[in-house]
Amino acid sequence: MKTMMTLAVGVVIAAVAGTGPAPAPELASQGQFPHERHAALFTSCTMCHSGVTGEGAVYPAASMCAGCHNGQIQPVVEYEPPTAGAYAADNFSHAAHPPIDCAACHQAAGAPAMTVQRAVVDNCLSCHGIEAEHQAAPQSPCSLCHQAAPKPASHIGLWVQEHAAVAAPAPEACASCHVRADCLACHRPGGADPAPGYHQADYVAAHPAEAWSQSAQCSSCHNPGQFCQDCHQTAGLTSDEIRSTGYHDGQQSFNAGHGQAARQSLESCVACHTESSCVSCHRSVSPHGPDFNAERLRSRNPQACTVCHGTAVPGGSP
Amino acid sequence: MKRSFVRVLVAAGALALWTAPALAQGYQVRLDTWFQSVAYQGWQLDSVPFASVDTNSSGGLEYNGYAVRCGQGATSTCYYYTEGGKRQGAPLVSTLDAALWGLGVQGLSFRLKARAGTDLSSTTVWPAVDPTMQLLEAYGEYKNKFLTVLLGRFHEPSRIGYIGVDGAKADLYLFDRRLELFGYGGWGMTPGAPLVVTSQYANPLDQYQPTERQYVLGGGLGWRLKGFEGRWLYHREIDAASSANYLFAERTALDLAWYPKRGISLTGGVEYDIGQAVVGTADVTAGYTTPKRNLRASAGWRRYRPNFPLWQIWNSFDPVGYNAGFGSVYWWPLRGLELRGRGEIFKYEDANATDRFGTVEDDGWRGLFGVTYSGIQQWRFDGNYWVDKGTGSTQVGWDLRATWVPPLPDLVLTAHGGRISRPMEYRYNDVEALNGGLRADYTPMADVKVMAEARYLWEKRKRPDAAAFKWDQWRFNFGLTLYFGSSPDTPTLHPSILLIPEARSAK
Repeated sequence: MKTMMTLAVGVVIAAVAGTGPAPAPELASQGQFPHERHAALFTSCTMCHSGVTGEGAVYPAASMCAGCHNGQIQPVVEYEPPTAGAYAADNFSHAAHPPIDCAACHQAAGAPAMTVQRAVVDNCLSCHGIEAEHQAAPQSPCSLCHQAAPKPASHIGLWVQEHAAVAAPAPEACASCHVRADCLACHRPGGADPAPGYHQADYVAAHPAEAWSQSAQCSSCHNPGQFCQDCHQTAGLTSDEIRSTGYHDGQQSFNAGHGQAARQSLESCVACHTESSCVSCHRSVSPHGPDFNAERLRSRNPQACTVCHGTAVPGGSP
Repeated sequence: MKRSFVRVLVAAGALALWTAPALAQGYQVRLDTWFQSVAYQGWQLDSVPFASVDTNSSGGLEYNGYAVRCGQGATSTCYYYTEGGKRQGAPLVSTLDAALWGLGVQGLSFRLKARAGTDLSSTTVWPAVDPTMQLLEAYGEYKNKFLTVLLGRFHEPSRIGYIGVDGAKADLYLFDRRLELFGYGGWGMTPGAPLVVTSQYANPLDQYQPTERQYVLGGGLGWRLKGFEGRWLYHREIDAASSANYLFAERTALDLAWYPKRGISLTGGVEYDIGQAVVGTADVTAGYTTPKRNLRASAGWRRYRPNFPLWQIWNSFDPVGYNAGFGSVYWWPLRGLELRGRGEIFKYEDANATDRFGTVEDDGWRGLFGVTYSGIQQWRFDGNYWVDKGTGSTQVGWDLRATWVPPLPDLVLTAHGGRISRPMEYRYNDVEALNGGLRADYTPMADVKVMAEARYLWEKRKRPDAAAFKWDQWRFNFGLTLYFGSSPDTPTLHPSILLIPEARSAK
């Protein structure tokens, strides 16, 4: 811990000494400029962006605004042209692109005049027809404009670990850039090869604790049978007979009092134990808790009930 | 097995060559191949009669210095683990990802994702490489502005998991794609595996298993209104072998996201197991990102409860879930510097089980502090320190990673290391593990990526008995990724562009 703290402080000091101030927000001014409110005033895009068909985007100087926003005609406003920075379309060149109307890219189809926005990807795709699900850049027509897939504002921090809350309600939004195969890079069922970057390098040592505490939710990607038991079996950790395992050797009476631990971490138990090994005792010792909804389960599938109860399933025969 | 793996590789190569002349089509093929060599000390279960067991100074039972577990009574048998033979693994896994389009029908495409894997060692120790050939996805897709139809094998991602289906799916988009209605049906797969539920490979320990594949039926709707998105799903799996239409699963899930202002989000969802009438996994998260995007904070609550198919007996054991409050902060105070912290405190619901041998923890907390610095040209440093005070398990660890992009084209070198201290309840198996490794990623050309890594794991088992044997091991990894396909870097412009007079010279 002490070592880590020393290192962390060192990194912070190095960062302070070795870098300048934090970067200006990307294109904030452009995003804030209300194009539509000036629609009547500016009849042509090139009135302000006269050099745009050359290399790079050109923005008007602040003095141009001050012509009207001088405190007498209109209130004074603060405006700074966007600094040249990281453009999402880092491969795109206005000069190289065949000349087309600005609105063809920078305005959504059917939108009112001067509702300007960054290039509408759907508009790009309408010409650069990606007829199937497109691939991730740079292996796709996306590389026409993007050297690397631009990251949305949400993709910061440990986005990989936290993306589910945003992706689940609207997976279509992800499909703007990602294809199904991208999801399968990590969410692939039962991967025998490591998902790149998902688990830490020493995960073989770390996984027992995470599996036991269920912090990792292993079964989202791994089947306890095909994956967990398969490896635990070859490592010598599984057993057909529950009494014949020396695994829980730190607690001699584990079998007699394992109920709470098992209910809390049943997924972990299943990684080594079979149904038949548990049933060898639980056929006579009820595993059901006080809230067990036997009738509900019986009505949906009584076959699990017959494992212990045979054909005499309480509440009716299967 | 090895022979069939070679056949699969040859078939993949033939596919790549076969697709090459199809210039009129659009196609992409990606072939990832990964190989690892690993060797470690195995374990072996042994037993002795109770009469041969001694009581050690701390009152425990042991045989020849090994801690043992015994059954009840003087005639019972006692069990313990000793050193087993050396186990050696050499898994070789290739994953093929192919897409084909441009078949004369706008919006029609075909996709294939398949995996071939084997363990080249004489003792198969690697998980999930059986069967040799595994088909993850293979489907035809038709897509236009209002409709998407899939036919074949696909996986449907959702809050209830990654559901594999051999069948069809249709998505209907209405109101300028603000409303989506979808439905799917077919035959189901094993949860978390590209296998059918009747496969022997999904059942290595010979448990109870369905005799026929299940029918799958699901559907729902999604909406994308301004600042408010949501998706609702109903999923049902029916036992095909049962004339009474017994269920393998019946679940529903709802996900919502609300973005009231730029930088503010409220997301969450809940899964409900209709078959058992229990609430499954649920969560709600409030997030805030500053306008300058130099700070992101979130806080929320989540619940986790494992889900098992209705045909398995595990639901009758009444697994309980835990509830957790969590928060996280990511701060970018300077260019290239990220400070991050996460924390979570959790508590299990009442297990209603008699605790006969002492206290079993039912709560815990987890925390992580990390730093990333990429402000020095060609370098990136990452470090994390974490604590996981769990129930029945606790671990404390750190990891460090330094990445160097030398002034050579397309080469990245990474050194990494870490330490874990991992005591566990119920076992004499406290572990201190150190690891370190070097990795090189090289991209000699745009269509080829190569990776090589050497990694050493030093694991010290701090058991108080003779079973504190070594588990140290070297691991060597090699990876190769190949891309084939129509080159997007020299694209042909769409014919409509060429109708623009000024654009005719652009090609």
